[in-house]
Amino acid sequence: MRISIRKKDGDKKRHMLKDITVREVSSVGRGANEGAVVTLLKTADAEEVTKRSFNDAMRDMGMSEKLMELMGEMFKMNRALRDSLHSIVSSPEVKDKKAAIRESIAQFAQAMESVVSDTDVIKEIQKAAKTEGGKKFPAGDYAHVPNPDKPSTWKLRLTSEPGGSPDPRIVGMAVAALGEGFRGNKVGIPAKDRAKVVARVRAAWLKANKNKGEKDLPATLKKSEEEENNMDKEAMDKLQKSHEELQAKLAKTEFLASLNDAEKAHYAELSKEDKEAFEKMDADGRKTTVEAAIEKAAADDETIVSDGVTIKKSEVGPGVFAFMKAQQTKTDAAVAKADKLETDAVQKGLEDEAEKLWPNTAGSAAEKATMLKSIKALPKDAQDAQLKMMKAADEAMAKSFKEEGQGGSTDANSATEKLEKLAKAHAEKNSVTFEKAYTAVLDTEEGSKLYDESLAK
Amino acid sequence: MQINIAKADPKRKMVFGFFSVNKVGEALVEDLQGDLIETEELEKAAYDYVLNARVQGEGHTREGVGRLVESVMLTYEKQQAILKCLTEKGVDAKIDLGCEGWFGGFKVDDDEVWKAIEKGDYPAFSIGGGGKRIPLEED
Repeated sequence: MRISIRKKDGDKKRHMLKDITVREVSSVGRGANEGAVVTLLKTADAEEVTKRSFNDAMRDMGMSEKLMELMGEMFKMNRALRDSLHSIVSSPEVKDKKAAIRESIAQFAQAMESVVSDTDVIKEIQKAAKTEGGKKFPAGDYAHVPNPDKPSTWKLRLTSEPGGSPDPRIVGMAVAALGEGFRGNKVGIPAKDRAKVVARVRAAWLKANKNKGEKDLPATLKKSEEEENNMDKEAMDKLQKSHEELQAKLAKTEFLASLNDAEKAHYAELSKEDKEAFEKMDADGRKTTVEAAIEKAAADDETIVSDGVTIKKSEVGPGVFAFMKAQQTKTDAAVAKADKLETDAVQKGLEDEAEKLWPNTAGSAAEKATMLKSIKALPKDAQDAQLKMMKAADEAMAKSFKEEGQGGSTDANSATEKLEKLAKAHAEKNSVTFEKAYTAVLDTEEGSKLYDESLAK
Repeated sequence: MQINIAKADPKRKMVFGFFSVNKVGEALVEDLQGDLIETEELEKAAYDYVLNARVQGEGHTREGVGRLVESVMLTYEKQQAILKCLTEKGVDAKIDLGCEGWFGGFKVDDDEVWKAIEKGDYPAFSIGGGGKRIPLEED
C-alpha cells in the first residue's frame, strides 16, 4: 500500500479539515484515507474454525441430525478437557496438578460414557447407512439423499466401497440411470432436486475419470450446461434490452444536440406526444414548424413597457410576464397617486398664496389660484404689473367693504344684503360656492342693478 | 478444577487497524477527496469520538454493527513518550512508526458484517462525521 501524501493533479481543490466531529467509524471496501486499513483480525480461535469445518463435513457426508448432535457434544467435551488441562498446567494456584488432571479426565470419561450409552443414539448411528452387497454405505456415497435419516430414500451410489472415492463403473451406472436408464431402471428424481443431483454426479464423474475433461462429459450430464446456455440467453436478452435503451438515450441526446436554440425552446414547451412527432420530423419540417410557431406567438404576443423598455410575453414566458404586468399596474397606480398628491399640493400652495394676496377679491380660492398661476407664467415685468394691479383692486374692494361696515347699516333690504341673499340662493340651488354664485348673480340684470345701487350708497 | 461442558468459548470477533493516517514523515496525507487533517484536529476528534460515540458503522449506511474496544492516537509526541518511559525502565525499546495516525479496534456484533470482514470485503476503515472544510491556497 502506498499512502498519497500530496497529489500533483492541479484540478483537484484541496481542503484542510477543522472542528471535526466523528459520529461513527465504518468498515468499508475502500476508504478515502489510504492508510486506514485493517491490520489485524481477532477471530474465533482455531478450535472454532475447526468446529465449523467439522460441522460442514458432517453435513456434506449426509449425517443425520441426531448423529451430528452427538458428534458435536463429543467435540465440545474434547475441547473442554483440553481447556481444563491447559488451565491446570498454567495456573500457579493449582498446587497438586496431577490430582486436578485426574479429576478432569474422570469427569470427561463420565460425560463420554453417558453419551455413548444412549441406545437410541447407537441405533440411529447403525441405521444411518444403506446396506448394498453386504456393505454399509453412508449417505455421502450417494448422489441423491432426500432424507439423511432414511437410507431407503438414498439413490445413485457413486462409490464401490463405503466412504471411498467415486468409482468409474458405478458412476457410469448412475449416469445411465439418470438418462435413458440402466438395464431398464431409470431413476426418478424430483424436478426440483435434479440439477443438484446432476451436478453431484458430474463432479463424481470428473473425479472418477481423471484423464477426461468437461468436453467428454456424457450427454446426460451436459444437460445442465444447456440450462446454463439458457441462462446465458436470458442474460444476453437483458444485455440486448439494456443496449437498446442506451441506444435510444444516445439517439435522443444526439437529436437534442442537433437542435438550434429556437428549436430547443420550442421543443421544451411541447407535450409528450408533440415531442415524439417533432422528433420524427426532418430538419426542414422542424424549421418550418418552429417558424410558424414563432410567427403565431409574435401575433399573439402581449407587451408591456417598463422604464422605456418593451417586454414581450413570448420572451419572458407567461409566468414572468404576468408577474411583471401586475407590478407594472401597481407602479402606474402609485405614480398616478404621487402625481395627484403633487398637483394637489401645488394647487393648495397657490390657493393659500392667492388668498393672502387677494383676500377681498371675489371668486373662489381655486379661481384665485388659477389667476395667480396665469400671472406667474407671465414675463417678470408683466407679472409684477399684474400683481400690483390685482393688489390695488383687492385693497379697493377691502375699503368698500370697510366703509359699508363702518356705516353700520343693518338694513336687510339694502342692495348689498339683497345681493348676498340672491347669491346664497343661487349657490344653494346650483350647488356652487358662494363666490361663484355671487359672480353669477352680478351677471344678471337684477344683480347688476343692485350692485350699482350698493356702490352708490 | 471443574470442566464445564456447556461452556461456550467466547468468540472474539475483533478487528483492528488504522482509522486514519494523517501524516507520513512531516507531510500531511491527502485523502482521495483532497482532504488533509492536522494531527491536533484528528487527536481532538478521536478523543471526542471515544467519549461520545464509540460506534462502528457499515459503509456509512448502517450504524451500531460493533463497539469500540481500542483507540489510540499515535502522535510522534506519544511515540517518543512511550519510548522514553520504557528506556528509563531499562527496556531496549524501539518505536518509530514514521507516521502519525489514529489506531483502533472494534468488537463486531453483527454476524453479516463480521463475515464480510473475514472474507476481505471490508479491508479498510473510514471515519464518518462532520467538520469545516477550509480551502487551501495552492502553490
